[in-house]
Amino acid sequence: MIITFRKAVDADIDFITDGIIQAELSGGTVLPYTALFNISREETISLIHAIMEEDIEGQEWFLPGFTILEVNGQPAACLNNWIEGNAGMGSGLLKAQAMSWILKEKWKQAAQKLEWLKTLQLPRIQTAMQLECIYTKSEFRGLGLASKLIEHCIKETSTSPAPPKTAEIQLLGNNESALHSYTKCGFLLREQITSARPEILTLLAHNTRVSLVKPL
Amino acid sequence: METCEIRLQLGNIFDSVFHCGNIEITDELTAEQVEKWDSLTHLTMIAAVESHFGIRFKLKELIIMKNTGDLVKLILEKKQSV
Repeated sequence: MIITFRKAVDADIDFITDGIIQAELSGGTVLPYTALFNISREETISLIHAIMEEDIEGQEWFLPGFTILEVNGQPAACLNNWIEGNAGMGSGLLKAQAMSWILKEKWKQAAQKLEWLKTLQLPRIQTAMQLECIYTKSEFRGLGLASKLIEHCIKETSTSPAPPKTAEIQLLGNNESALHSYTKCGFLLREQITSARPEILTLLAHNTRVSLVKPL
Repeated sequence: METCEIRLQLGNIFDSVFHCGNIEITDELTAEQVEKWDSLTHLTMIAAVESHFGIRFKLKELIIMKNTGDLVKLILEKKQSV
């Protein structure tokens, strides 16, 4: 098994979109954006593509921010990483700004649901390395590829001119296997929040959000 | 329209959107420093600024904005180009 790493290119957009969708599903059946904005899965894919085309650095859906792990020349896993706040605005604001711009009325109509989501918001650590959209294709699971990809990206970021002091991963609390895998990589629980709003479960697979950190 | 006038009017908009009372509008002011400035209220604030000053922002302009000083500069540029 030959493992290689490379930065994502335009041709990876479908693989990465699959990864984002699976990461958003978080093992559940509810795709948050379809429930939130009353849009179809295809429209969600178009939304992800539209935001990627805007090339907005410092947030989850920035294509050049993704690293691809290949097994024998085939894309097997991906993740996105950025330094929170380096782009000026926080990643949440950047993504929301782009989404509202693209969705317009549908964004406004989702105001109530967005308020529910706020009850499950954990502020990301400023200047920390953020790891998001961590995804391994089903046929490559159980090989520790996500851990290898995380270690590779941390190592790469640590050699940058101004390396971050902390890495952070945020995920939903139901994702036990991911939690176990990140803990094995040296991540520790920083904070967790549980929403008391029952409506959250109509939008997300779980009502608890977890922040894990690793000192670098 | 002068920078100080824009700052003053922006202060009123921030007050009505973020309910932050006597907030001082400095160039360095960012979302992290205002308790109710989050992804939802930010977009309400942008819409209020557009409506109040009679301008429209482009997405590219909004995403490179780092602080309130950038917003003031952008409003000034837009008002001057009208």
